Amino acid sequence: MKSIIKLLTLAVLFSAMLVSCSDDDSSTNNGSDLITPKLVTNLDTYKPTQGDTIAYYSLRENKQIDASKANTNEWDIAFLKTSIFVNQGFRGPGQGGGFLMKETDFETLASLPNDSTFRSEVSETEKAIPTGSDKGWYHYDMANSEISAIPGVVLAIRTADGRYAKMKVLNYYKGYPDSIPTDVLSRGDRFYSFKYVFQADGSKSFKK
Amino acid sequence: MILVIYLNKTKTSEIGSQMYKAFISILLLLNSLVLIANDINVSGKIINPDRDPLRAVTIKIMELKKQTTSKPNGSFEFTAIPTGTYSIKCTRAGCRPLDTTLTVNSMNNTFILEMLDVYQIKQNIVVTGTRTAKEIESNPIATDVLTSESIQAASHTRLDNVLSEEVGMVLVEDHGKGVQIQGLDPDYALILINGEPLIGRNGGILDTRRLSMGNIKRIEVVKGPSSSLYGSNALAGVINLITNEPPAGFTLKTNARYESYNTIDLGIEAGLAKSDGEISNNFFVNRISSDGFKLTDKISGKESYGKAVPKYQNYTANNEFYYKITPHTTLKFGARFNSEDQENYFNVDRNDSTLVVDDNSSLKDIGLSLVGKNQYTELFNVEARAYYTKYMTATDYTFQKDGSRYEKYTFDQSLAKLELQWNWMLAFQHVVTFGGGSTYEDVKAQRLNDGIVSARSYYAFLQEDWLASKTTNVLASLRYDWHSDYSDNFSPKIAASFKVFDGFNLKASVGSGFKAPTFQQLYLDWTNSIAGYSVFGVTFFEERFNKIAADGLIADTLVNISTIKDLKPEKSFSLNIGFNWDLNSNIDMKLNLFRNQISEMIETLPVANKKSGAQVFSYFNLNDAYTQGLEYSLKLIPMSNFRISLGYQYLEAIDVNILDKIKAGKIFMTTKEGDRKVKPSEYGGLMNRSKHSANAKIEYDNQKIGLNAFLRGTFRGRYGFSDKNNDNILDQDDEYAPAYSLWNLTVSKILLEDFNLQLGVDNIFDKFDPEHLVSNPGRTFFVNIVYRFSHI
Repeated sequence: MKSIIKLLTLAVLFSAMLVSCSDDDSSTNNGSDLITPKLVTNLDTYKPTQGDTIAYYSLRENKQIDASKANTNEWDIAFLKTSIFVNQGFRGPGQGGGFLMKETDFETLASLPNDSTFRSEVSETEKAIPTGSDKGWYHYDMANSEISAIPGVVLAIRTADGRYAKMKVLNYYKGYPDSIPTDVLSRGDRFYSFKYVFQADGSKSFKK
Repeated sequence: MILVIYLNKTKTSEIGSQMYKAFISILLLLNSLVLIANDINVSGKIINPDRDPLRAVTIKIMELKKQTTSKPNGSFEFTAIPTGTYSIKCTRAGCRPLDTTLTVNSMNNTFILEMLDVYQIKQNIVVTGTRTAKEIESNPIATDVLTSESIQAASHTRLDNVLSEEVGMVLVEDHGKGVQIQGLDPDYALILINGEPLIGRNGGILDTRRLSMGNIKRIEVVKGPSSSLYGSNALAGVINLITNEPPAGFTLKTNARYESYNTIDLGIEAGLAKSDGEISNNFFVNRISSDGFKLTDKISGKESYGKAVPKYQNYTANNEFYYKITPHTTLKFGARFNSEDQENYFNVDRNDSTLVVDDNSSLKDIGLSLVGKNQYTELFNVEARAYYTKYMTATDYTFQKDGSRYEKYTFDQSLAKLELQWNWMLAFQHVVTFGGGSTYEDVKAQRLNDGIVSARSYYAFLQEDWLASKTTNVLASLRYDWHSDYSDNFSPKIAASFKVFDGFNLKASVGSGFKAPTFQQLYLDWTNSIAGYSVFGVTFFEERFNKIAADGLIADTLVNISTIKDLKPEKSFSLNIGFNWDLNSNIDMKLNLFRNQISEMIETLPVANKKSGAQVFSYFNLNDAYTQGLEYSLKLIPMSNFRISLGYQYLEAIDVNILDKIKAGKIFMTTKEGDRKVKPSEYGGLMNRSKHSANAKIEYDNQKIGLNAFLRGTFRGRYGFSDKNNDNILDQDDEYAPAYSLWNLTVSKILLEDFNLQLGVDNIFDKFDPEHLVSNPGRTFFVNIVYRFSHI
């Protein structure tokens, strides 16, 4: 009798697992009815004459925003070396937020989870999107001094006006996609290439 | 005249020929005493391969129905035997029955008959797989033997040269040259010298270049786990180097060899043995030095920073003393010493300028071993072994400009071991071997907790060797290891061989091996002063971590700290099934299918984030992996004077956890367009494994004119080299190093009877690939002169 109960319990647990797995799959999609991503290449975030300046970008308008508008809601994300900020809290007046999604396929990600928690910009060190090798969007290879985007990492972004976007950093060096020098030391860095999908209707879905 | 009879008539071994010489000398004396008569008195002596007399042997002359029994000194006598040829049958408890024919006449009436123990066959015996002398063909533990003849015909100077030309063994370049067996990393292989372990692993690897081949009689290789006899690290295989025993009289061998890059190898081996073999001593010394070389890219002309192989000089000395104190008691004392000094340099960037740093490294390795053996009765013996070994390295980096120090570190490891082993033969079909021992190990190094740590371990083992029938041999063994700083461990193994028909033996074994956590994994205490990260071994983890936590350096923890206490050894479960088949005297083949399943593999993981942003790491039992494949070898004698051997290995090596993650869609690769999921079919398995590898040896040996030409080739199929798409796994064509083959040729000619002149070309076709083959300079040449002298 006991063993039957055990078996039944196992069966129930197992089917529960199956159900929960299929739940996960509902957030992805084969991509045909999803919004086509926008591609931004070689965004130069470094102005040598001005030192370590922050470069601001609007996902809504798909354009760079002048640094003089740092204290407005016009920008959604900002770049400082390898750090990416959102427009909120310590960094700006907006309703922005962000978090990292790991082991996620950018192309087929159909929506952000409903129960997801967007992190805030709290201080210089406590950021919405963590910085550091293997902690945020990139891996730093000490042997070659090379920054590379971690495959499978997607940034979930809340824009300054409270709408949603998904974003994937592709590259950190000048010349993407075809003319990046093979020698890391002769590359121009802080040139962001990324793709993103902004959902204008305010939902967390990336369907058309 | 004299007749010496061997049971196994197929092949003559080296031991055989040495003994043969010894017998001749004894028997020449006996022969002078022969009397002439019609009816002849026949006398003789029955001995075993160790030349001990055998008492209580029943000797029958079948045709005459006469029989007698040997006396305590092994002698026997028949009176009044007519001239003629007779069938003789000798039987004795514990010995293989001996059937032979003797021709008796006035000149031929003194005989020495040799009988073998049930478990001891003089020719083609191996010792590694069972810790007892055992015949190779029917041994359930498949053993490869690399003989000194072939090592010398190829003119190999170091162990890496020898192993690189063997099937199923791949030399991996990382912290020296380690050997990958059955697709498992060098960390999982054990190297023994006369049965005692070599220590001094650097990055887990025993550098096979440390070992000189000048005094090696044979190398036995047992693939698959042998932890049930040898304990830790014997998962992938055991390589046992057996040193020369001198033949009777005085023997001397010297060699002088000159090779490309000013590589000079000089060796002297001197042996002295009493004609009865009761006392012998063998001394060997070798010096090898080289200027080393840089690798220059042939197209770009770009040179490697520093030398790919540094300038070095290395000394090896070895002495083996053997003394038969009583007919039943023997003593063996071995001492070896190895020392190497290396010089290299590299560049460092300091304040926008590049400075040259000199790298002076040294290595010293000593080993002392004492083995006493007592034969209580023919059926029962005990072996006591004491072993001490020490391995020391020092690395000193100084700035070339002003000699000031850049960095210096030292590493000292020592191991003391005491062991007892009993071999007990029961009812003639069983040989029970049991024993146990204790080791004491200590390590001194800057990066270890308090700079010094020591550990103690105890172990016991038991083996039953059962001749279940004339065709079936079953071996079962079990070892228990207890260690002061990690979980205890049982390693069982069972193996069987079955003779299907003459010359064809099926073999199978199932066993478990283990690899102890390394000193680093247990005791490392290391904080990188520049990057700020810390790595703590598990033994002191809690203490170290609590200290930095109390200092307020920890931002958050990623795992439950209290779980980091006990590391388990890495374990393997392995299966080997195969056969050897001697088709006839000219064709001989072997096949083995293997699978090794490794679990509890120890990996580094971040444990906590420091407030500085750096992390704290420790060690965990995490991953599972397996390797599987087949190994096939074929030996042919297509015509007289020619020998050909061919070998092939097919290998798959898979990290199970990674494969599971890929199947679950959790591993992504970078592509130009972004990321995508890695497909299970794209996974290429563990790095640095070739799916296909093969070797070939073609030897022409004409003893009449003293000429030998030995051509060897090795092929290695493509293998994973480095990750290029940021997923840290092998899954894309450009992540493989290309397939290659290397061919080496050695030609030897005997001159003036005592001299052997050898000329050789290594890497005949000048294969050069500085990116992947980092210590291969391209084609090299050598000349070697060997002089031999012997006086009985």
